[in-house]
Amino acid sequence: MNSLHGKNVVITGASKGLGAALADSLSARGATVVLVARHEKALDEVVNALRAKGRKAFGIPADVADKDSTHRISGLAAAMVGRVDVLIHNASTLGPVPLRSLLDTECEDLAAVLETNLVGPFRLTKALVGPMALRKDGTVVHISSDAAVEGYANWGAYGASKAAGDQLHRVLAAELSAAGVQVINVDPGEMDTDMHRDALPEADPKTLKTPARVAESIARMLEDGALVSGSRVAAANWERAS
Amino acid sequence: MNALLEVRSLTVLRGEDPHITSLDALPSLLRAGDLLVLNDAATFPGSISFMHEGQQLEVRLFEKIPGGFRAVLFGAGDFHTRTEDRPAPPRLAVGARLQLAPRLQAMISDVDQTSPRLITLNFALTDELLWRAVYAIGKPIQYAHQPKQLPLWSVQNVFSERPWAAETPSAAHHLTFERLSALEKHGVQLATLTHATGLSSTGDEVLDAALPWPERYSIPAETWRRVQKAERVVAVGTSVMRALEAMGVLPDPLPEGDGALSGIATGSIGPETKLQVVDALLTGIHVPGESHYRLLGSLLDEQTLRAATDLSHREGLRGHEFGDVALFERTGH
Ligand SMILES: NC(=O)c1ccc[n+]([C@@H]2O[C@H](COP(=O)([O-])OP(=O)(O)OC[C@H]3O[C@@H](n4cnc5c(N)ncnc54)[C@H](OP(=O)(O)O)[C@@H]3O)[C@@H](O)[C@H]2O)c1
Repeated sequence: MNSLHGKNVVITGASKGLGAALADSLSARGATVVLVARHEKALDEVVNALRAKGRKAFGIPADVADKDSTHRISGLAAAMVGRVDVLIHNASTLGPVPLRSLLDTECEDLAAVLETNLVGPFRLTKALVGPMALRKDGTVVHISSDAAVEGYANWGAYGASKAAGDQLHRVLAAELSAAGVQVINVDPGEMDTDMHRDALPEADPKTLKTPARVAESIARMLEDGALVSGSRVAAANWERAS
Repeated sequence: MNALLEVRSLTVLRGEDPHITSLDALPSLLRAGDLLVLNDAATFPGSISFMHEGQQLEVRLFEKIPGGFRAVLFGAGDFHTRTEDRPAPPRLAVGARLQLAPRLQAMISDVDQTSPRLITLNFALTDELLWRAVYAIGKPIQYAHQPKQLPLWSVQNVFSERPWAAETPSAAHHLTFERLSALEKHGVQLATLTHATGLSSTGDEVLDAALPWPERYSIPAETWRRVQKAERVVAVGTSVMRALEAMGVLPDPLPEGDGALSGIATGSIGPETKLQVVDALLTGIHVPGESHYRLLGSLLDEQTLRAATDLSHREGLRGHEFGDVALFERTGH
């Protein structure tokens, strides 16, 4: 088991949903968390709520799709916590909702989805994983989706970005295997969040997991010493029988 | 800038005449058991332009201190003008307030005795909010020899981490991961330290004469242990050389585990310096008159240094932050 205690974790998209739940689960285990999201006010509220519980948390207002923000995020994270041990790519966009078929998808909308879900994480990986590779220690987690492997109608832009993200991180795992950096693609499963409501407003929330429950599974996954770098896993594998 | 371009290296090895190689030949110039020490400081955007009483000024933050930064003030103009040619800034007194941005005010808490341009700025903000503000409005310090404004992206190394550097530790700019892994495959070990590289030029004669200023460093105990065991220690950049030589000899007792050895490098290294740690240096191309050039005198005897300088001049090696590089193995003393 790899303890998260004392580890420094950067989580993108952490002002609500799964990202905020991960910040809670990981900081409860003694990790210091750095939360990234665009809207400063909502972000600071989550950070302050964590601090009120005695957790070590910092906030960086930034858009992961913005190239100029890359070294702002990595620089600020390092100014606040020093070394970054774990990077979790969780921020993500569906593109315009209601979701629409590919033939009705504007080219610019596909490009914007790729910018947030693929190119942005790639840039942040470049900025934050270099020191991990030199230290021969670190973990990168890409939050994926079943839309990366299934051909769901109307999920083309999002699904393509997640599939490309999976492949990018699989290759990264291969390139960094000698450098001791672990890279994992995780399918969180369906969760009751704003994103899910935006995509499928008619879904019955009772059929969905809470992000807190999924975050606990991902925390246990990170503590699992048997995790294989380069693999694509379902968070549900680490669910505790309730 | 991190592309695998052909970078030429002015190479001086003990017992050989100065010659020029490709940087890609670096593994063959080093030996298994050598330790390459890198400065992992990231460069922060320390240059802030602002209006003060109708004048456009620039402040360059170079050292984070509790509650604020130490900084140098520049008069009108921007980076296209060489710092030496820029007009002097107005004389500001302790207590003066500078509106650096609509929501960022600084108070001058100290004006240095040596030059009124050297000031200390205090901010009524937590460190977290101060860093956020600096990253929101600051730009990396620019160079007059660069035609375009450099983005923050371009002044980092592939392994940069804590934002301690006001100006980029540039000797490693060409060290891509491919080149670093080639070195590791060859048996060369890599280790890091963090050194707060400050300003390279202030435009003020008195201040420039005192460069390099005291700069803080932090050496992980693990790096120091490897330094003790290494066959040869190769510093990447003058900042690494400064930090290692400031540390000098084995401190007693060495911190356990993750502890780091921290301090301030004060001295300037020159021909008179007897090196205690560094056996070789990978650095940029330096020319006579620069403080970095003086430092080379600690590694090379006068004749070798002159031969190397002549060769680099004849071959048109590129100086400055993004130019070619040089590998100097200690020949003298
Ligand atoms: N919910 C599901 O059922 C489900 C299923 C499969 C996979 N996933 C994946 O799980 C992850 C989390 O989803 P979620 O449902 O928790 O989403 P969510 O509730 O919509 O939260 C998204 C978070 O990301 C931030 N964010 C969005 N765009 C950003 C950007 N460009 N830069 C920085 N931050 C950004 C948002 O804050 P700001 O708006 O302030 O930036 C917010 O904090 C995503 O990768 C998603 O694809 C979700």
